[in-house]
Amino acid sequence: MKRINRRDFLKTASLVSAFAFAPGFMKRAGGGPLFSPDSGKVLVIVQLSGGNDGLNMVVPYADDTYYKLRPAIGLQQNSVLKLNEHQALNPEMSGLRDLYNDGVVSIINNVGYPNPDRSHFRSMDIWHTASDSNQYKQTGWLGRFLDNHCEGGCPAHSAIEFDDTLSLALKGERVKGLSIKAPDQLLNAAQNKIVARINELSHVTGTANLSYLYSTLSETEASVAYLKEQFKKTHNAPDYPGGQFAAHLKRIANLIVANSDVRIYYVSLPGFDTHVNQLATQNRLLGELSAGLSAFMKDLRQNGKGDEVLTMVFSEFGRRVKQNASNGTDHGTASNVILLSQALKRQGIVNAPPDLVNLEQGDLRFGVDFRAIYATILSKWLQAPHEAILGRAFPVMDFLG
Amino acid sequence: MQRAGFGEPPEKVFSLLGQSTEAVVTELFERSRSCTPINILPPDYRKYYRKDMSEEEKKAAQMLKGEYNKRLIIAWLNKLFTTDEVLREKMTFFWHGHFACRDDDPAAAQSLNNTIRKYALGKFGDLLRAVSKEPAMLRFLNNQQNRKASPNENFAREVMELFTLGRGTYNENDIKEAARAFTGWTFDEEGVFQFRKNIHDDGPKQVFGKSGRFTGDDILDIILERKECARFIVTKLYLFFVNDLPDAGIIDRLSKQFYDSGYDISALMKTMFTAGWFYDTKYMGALIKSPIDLIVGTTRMLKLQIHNAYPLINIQRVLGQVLYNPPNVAGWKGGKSWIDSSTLLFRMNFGERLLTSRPVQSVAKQDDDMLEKLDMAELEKIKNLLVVVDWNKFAGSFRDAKKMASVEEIARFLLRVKNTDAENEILKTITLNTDLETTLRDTVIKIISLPEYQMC
Repeated sequence: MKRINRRDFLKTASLVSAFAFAPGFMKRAGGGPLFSPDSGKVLVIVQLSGGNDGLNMVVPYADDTYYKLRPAIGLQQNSVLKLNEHQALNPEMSGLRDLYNDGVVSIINNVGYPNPDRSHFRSMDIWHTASDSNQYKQTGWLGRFLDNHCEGGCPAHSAIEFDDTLSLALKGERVKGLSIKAPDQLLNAAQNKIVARINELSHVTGTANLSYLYSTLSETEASVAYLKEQFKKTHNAPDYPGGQFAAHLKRIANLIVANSDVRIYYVSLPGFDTHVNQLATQNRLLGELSAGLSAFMKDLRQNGKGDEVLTMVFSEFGRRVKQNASNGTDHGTASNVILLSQALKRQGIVNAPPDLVNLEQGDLRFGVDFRAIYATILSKWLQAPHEAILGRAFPVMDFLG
Repeated sequence: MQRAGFGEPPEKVFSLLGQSTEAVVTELFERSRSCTPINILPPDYRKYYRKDMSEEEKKAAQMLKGEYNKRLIIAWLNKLFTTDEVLREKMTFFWHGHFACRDDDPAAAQSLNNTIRKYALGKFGDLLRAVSKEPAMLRFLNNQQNRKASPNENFAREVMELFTLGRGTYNENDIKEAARAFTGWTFDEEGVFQFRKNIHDDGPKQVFGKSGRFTGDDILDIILERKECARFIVTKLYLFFVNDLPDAGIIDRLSKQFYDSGYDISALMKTMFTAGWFYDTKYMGALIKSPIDLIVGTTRMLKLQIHNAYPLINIQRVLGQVLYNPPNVAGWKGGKSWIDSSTLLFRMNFGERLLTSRPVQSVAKQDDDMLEKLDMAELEKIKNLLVVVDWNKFAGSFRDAKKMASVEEIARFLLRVKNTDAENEILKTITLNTDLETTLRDTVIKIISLPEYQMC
């Protein structure tokens, strides 16, 4: 039975309210709903690349140990933006603090995994593939979601990453996301006369691999044509700060408000590997992050999309508690994950602040396995079987109800 | 020629027509008897990395490292473009993905690469032993942290799981005990392997049901005694050189031969390349080219002269495979994983990008779409990407061998998948221009823009 995606359904449904009746009688042979009423839900992943120091982002200002171990880079009590009696935000994050006060932010402390790896590549792979630290998976958690979700076929633009290469997170066994550095670049590549002409040709026989290339081409061209129209649509957006990160968020908001057929967006903000002179670099980047997210959330909420979008901010590891001799920090372990949405059921800081005394060889011990967060997002937001996608069951958290 | 090497220009290919498979394969092996290592570092390279350097000196040393790492990539690329030892280089390329490792010290990376090259066509046991003692590998797999008092299992685990036996053929105890045996395997400041007795655990160990005071070398011997090792390596070679779908019968036979021969790589490859089944039509053009196959193959087949190959590093990155930089110790997955929407479009635009590059000003016009993804420093470099093709010579080699340089002949030469509807349609759109160069360029660009060109 062909799986009807949201767009097909919209074409045939005579009443928008028909959405509400869908799950009751439209069931796939396998038992799951053919059309999910929540399929309007969008996931946005913001990756902070380099290993973001959680302790200087969500600051344990009331803990003396923090200042003892960071004599030069500890953020002063009177400059940080207090969230509760234990933790505060980096001084450059007033935008995020306002969102926090609006009740659209959840902050999870101590997120990591057992036997953590402190290599950028390895740890990022672990986060992308949701593997154990001694496993090597070659597909990403969101790619496997797409494999699972797209059995009848999904458009190539179901998941879009704003970068020139596709992250492992979005690579499934069969289905992959689409990476775009900039809309013009994608259009040029797809509309190259020769390429467009090849796409028009009928392709009949060939090996499985050659067929795969042709079907990828045809899906890509279809997606590019679709996105070309979507990118043209504009709406009344608030001001966004400068910089590429904010520009990507703005494009994402544009596509969301245009009701694009995209489930997942992925965007990175690099530069967090602060071994030397951390304050200058990290403060600036966190300011950029905060201002960008602030404009993004304002945009979504003003346009009625606040509870249709869930944003997750993560980094591949945190950094060591004690500063180093270059006024920076070295690779560490657990850090924070930040979630943003109007649909969050648990707002604010959801668990205890990090224990800066009982460390593991100078590093924070993790309290929440990041895959529990993935499991929650998969089950509750994306309506997908998290066990099959992650390889085993993880505890589902309550931030989505 | 494509599978055992990276592709050859027309005059070479035509000169081999009419010869028996055995003769061609023999020549292939003959040309690879020699081994030419890569050497781009000055002999006093280590003087840049003393412990007692100032901040300034450290910074300069880091930048120099980065530059040497780029040169390493370029050096290997250039070697692949022009070498006669194609089989050796192809095997080196395969093993370099198999013994996947990253190291940001160019001396260590170069050393590992040359070690692989040296043993690429020899006995697998020798290759395994040599690679396992390379500083780059020991560091990458954390064997520096593997000590008697606190063993680190990473090295032992990856050696078994990824380099020799494969998952499910050992248990955790085997790994734990093997890890103990590898304690003491380190290297000194000069990048030379060193066995440090004082941190080596020389107690009795039990691995795969055998007992003894095993050393790291003993463990490797024990691993090689297991037939699963032969099967694991043969399967990987089959998937890389023959087809995505393993043929149980063929792999059984080859595994037995490989094991019985003492893991003789040359003998195995010779058997493979002269077997009837290797030339079965169902295998022809059924593999998706890796990014390096694409870049090197195109360069060799068209005899391109590339002036300033630096932009090719970024191109490798966009396509998903940068030499010396596998994503992790599992190497590159290959096959369909090379292909997603953007890499496919990039591959299909690659020909035009490569063959219409012009120096300085003109490049900007042709490559607008690339400008957006490179920063200004890269932009400067790509302006200098100059690819020169001797179209006259290219056409000439067809005329000499085939009496004419027709569009169909050129397509036959370039494509491993023949006579598809798409190919025929595209060839029809080629208009013959009075200017030979324009016609040839147009023809070649159109042919290599086809998905068919991505197959080998």
